[in-house]
Amino acid sequence: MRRFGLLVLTLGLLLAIALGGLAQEKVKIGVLGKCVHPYWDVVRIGVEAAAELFPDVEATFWVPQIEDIPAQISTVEAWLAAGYDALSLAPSDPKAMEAVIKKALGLGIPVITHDTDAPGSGRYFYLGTGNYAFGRAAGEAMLELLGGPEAAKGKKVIIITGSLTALNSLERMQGFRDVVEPAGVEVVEVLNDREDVSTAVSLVEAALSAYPDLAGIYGVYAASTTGLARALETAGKTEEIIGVGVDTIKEHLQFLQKGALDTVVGQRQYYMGYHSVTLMRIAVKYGIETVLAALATAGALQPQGLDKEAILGYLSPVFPDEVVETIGMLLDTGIVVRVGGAPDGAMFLDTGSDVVTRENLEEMFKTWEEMGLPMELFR
Amino acid sequence: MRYLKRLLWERPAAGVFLVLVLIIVVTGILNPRFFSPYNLQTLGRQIVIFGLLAIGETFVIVTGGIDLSLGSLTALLNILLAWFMVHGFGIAGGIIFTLLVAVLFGLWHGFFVTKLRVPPFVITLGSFAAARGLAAVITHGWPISGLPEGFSVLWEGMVFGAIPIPVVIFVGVAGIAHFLLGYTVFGRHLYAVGGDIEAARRFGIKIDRVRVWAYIISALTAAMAAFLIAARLNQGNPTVGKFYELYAIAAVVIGGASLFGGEGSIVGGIIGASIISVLWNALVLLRVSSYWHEVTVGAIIVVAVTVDVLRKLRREAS
Repeated sequence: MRRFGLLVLTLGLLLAIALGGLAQEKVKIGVLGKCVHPYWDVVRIGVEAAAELFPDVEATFWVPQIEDIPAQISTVEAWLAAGYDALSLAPSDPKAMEAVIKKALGLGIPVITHDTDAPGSGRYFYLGTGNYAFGRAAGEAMLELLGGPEAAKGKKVIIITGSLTALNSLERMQGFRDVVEPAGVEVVEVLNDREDVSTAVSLVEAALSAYPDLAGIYGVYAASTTGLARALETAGKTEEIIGVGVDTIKEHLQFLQKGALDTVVGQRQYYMGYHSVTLMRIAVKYGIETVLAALATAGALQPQGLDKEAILGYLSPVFPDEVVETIGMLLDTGIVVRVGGAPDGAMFLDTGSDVVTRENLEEMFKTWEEMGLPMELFR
Repeated sequence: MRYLKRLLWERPAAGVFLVLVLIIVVTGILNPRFFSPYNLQTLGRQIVIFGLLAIGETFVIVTGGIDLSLGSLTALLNILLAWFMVHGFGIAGGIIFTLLVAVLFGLWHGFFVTKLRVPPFVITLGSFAAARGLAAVITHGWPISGLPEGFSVLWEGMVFGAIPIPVVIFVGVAGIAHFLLGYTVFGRHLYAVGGDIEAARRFGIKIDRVRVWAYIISALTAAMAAFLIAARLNQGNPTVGKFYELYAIAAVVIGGASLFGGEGSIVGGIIGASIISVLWNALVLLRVSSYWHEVTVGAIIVVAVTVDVLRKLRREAS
């Protein structure tokens, strides 16, 4: 009897391995986010939408409950053990992630980073928001809302952020300053809410007392943005004070409609998930070198003002059809390839930003809908 | 001078009250806008949030325990309230169910502390992580908006045109808490348990029941803070309440409670909470760089705890 049980077990095991082997034919892509958050939910939707397009892909998206570096590393290790073919990672701590990235590359598995780069780790390229350019976009919006470079001179604005040390916060603030300060706008205060909306409201309320002649507020993170809008709303100052914030989530777009915010600059993280899948798929099927060469070609042609058809015209005689199609999808979604744009000289795929105002809101709704984004995120 | 010195050692609440007045006067002189009606109203509301948590924390600290879950509980309960309200439970239903969850958390902490002898630090640290985790699980990090029309009156509304509703609620809660702790048998038992738990047991005090109640009251104050924050933001938001447990503990200690138990008062806790809230406000009004805000609050906590330890040493010496 016991021997029989063992036989069944062995057969079962063999069957499982065989089935596992069959499933192996799919390209297995692991996409790693940072934590449970609406932002990462959108990345997940992007991953799933892209995976649905390709029957030959099996994509897994995973995030820790809260930012958790050891959990990220052990997940990547588990993926390596499970025979994943390609990885796209958003490291909470780029340095800590370096060893496991090198391990994956050593196994011949292509690795890219999204959202947060890990320069010097050997990852092939970085797909994410250019935070400096993102901050500049907010600065340009603020300058325009203050009445243009002439009228804005001498006006006072404050910045409220969730971190005084995180690189993306610093880059966004610098980009903002580099646009508004040369025009004579005075950044009188930088507040730190530590990503707590309630704290953000308190700080903005205190700042409203401190600066009765305040002209504008720039919220660097999502919590800061919600907080500044709510503080302006309860203080009844939505008319006098310009609010510029980030993240095009439903709540912020409602504040935009009510006038508590005047511009919302959105990241396009959907495409970080989406193109992690499209690009890693062709990297597995045609080799990462092919993908890098195709991206470099597109990146060299983009600044010359060529349109998509022209760029694809250059690519199609040289590269496999699926690679050309994927580059086409990349260009369709407005992604800018910056060759050598990462700090270590690797390629940087800038997902860009959506600058949403009351005027273009309806248009943006339409665009998002056409792009296939779930509209309950926005309305 | 000697009188002042004695006052500071023996009536710590009176001492810190002088500190509070000093901060207010100095800030007001340096920036008169501090006394603008708008600033006083926003400040009053801010004190309410920390003050409520400080009241809850006082009950626990007086028994010699500690509750590290309050900030995370505030986040979870504000999410739950919003969830209940947008899922058709109504305002009253939402409040009642959320209060029930708070009571369950209090019972949970009390059970582990009394029956299983788990140090309060450990079990409430568990909830510190778990409650915030649950808030993330329920919301995936999204805010819950679309609360019932009129709910935000709880935060924005005014009584007699000048006193914010949260302040009125707070004065009521503080009054009840002050009475409970200072003028009832239950209050005396709380102090007795914190002062010398074995002696309290020998006197026939039901020490377990007393301590369980302390944790329930503490969780209930987190629920009340959560209601007010939900009304303040007009949404349930899982990011709120970060470090609030630490501010509440700091407020209680600043107000003269002893982390060793057996000492502390509601008035002291409220003064402590006021100092922390006024400081945050004052640092912005005095245009102190954000880099220094947390350093300043941290320094004040260190001073308060040091004074607590010195007081204890002094008492043991005499």
